[in-house]
Amino acid sequence: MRNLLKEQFGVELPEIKFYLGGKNRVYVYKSCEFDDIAFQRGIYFGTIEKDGLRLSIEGSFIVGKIAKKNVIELDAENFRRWMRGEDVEAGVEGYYIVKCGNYFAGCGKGNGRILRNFVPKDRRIAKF
Amino acid sequence: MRVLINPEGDVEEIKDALRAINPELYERLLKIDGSDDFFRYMVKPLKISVRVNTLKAEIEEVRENLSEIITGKVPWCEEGFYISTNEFSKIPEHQLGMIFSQEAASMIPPVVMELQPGMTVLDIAASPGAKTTQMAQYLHNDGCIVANDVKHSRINILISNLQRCGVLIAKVTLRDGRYFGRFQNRFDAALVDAPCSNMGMIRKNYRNISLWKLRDCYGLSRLQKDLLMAAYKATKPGGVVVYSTCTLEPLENEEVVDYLLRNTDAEIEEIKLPVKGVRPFTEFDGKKYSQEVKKCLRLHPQINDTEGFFVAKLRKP
Repeated sequence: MRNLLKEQFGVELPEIKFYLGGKNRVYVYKSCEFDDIAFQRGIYFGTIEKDGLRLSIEGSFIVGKIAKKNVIELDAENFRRWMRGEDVEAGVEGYYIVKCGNYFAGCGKGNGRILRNFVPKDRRIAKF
Repeated sequence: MRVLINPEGDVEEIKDALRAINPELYERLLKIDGSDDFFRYMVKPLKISVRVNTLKAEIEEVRENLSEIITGKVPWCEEGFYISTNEFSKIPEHQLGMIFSQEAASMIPPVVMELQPGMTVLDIAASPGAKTTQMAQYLHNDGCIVANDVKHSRINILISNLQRCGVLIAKVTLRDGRYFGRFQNRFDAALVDAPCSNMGMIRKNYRNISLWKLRDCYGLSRLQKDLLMAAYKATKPGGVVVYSTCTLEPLENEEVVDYLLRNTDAEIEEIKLPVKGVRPFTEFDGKKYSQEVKKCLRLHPQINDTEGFFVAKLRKP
């Protein structure tokens, strides 16, 4: 996981712990003395796909602020479209963190022409 | 017979409607605060408020970007704002977890807990997690919050809100809150946002009018005393324990705080915030409480245009 983060986004997160759940979903948390009694610890960070790491919205907020590569900045109009769940045009390939200023909205997957949208339905906006 | 409440109507009509739906509640409200303003505000729809989640966003940036819908600032919480819409799914900042919908009065307990990064905090009745996520931002996601709830059905909403707010330090536990009494002197601070009869939440949902029963308050009062005692035991000497409810019923408020003061060496402190309260009860329904309970914060809805709320700040010497 740490190698993947370093390779894909140029980021190290030494203070954060990871664990792998079902369906290759990665969860993150900070450890403390009460870990053992927890019914649940940590939040969904992203999914390990066969071609890379796809970050959740929360994962993109954690990584996006310090990422050194594979971040795409959308203009306000395209970010609105992204938040509605639409794909946007972008000449990038692979998984990219999507941002607009200090707003981070998960990862998209580029094929060199289109950036495919992964914003979950319950996190999309209907209209501005 | 279906009784309709018109919050814009005459106060006598409002009283008649409350009496018709739940005469026991009406009589109790008269004892607590018989003023016309009190009854008017008890049924007036709540102002909508949000808290900026500083784990993800800067207050000033969000304030600027939402300037069209922000109608005012919550005076007692730096991150709190009143807004003009409740269509949260249309607000990108909400969908991204940069703001969180939270009633203004309920922002008070975490503010008075004196939280610092690195602390270990107990939230003994955490769902749905508004105050838990607020505490996490005061800890800067550094430290530990044991976020407990007894009901499995309420855990999912808690986990969902921790996710949305990007909280990395919460340990969600599914226990009877009294269980935490065994962790003697282990937490730097604790919050007992106790399960209550929701008398103060009538403004939020009129269903609370018909649901309220005095009989329930006696059972809740016993549980609240146990939860507060457990949290007090679990807190380290010098630590702050905050007790809060969204009810105005003295059995669930002053009586619970009085119980802790009489049975432990707990000290109660005044809450120094720009928020006006009404005088807490030192005597009610034939029962006398310690004069120290005057330091509690009792919020009746007409004073700050909030839900009915109660907060006590206690310290373990």
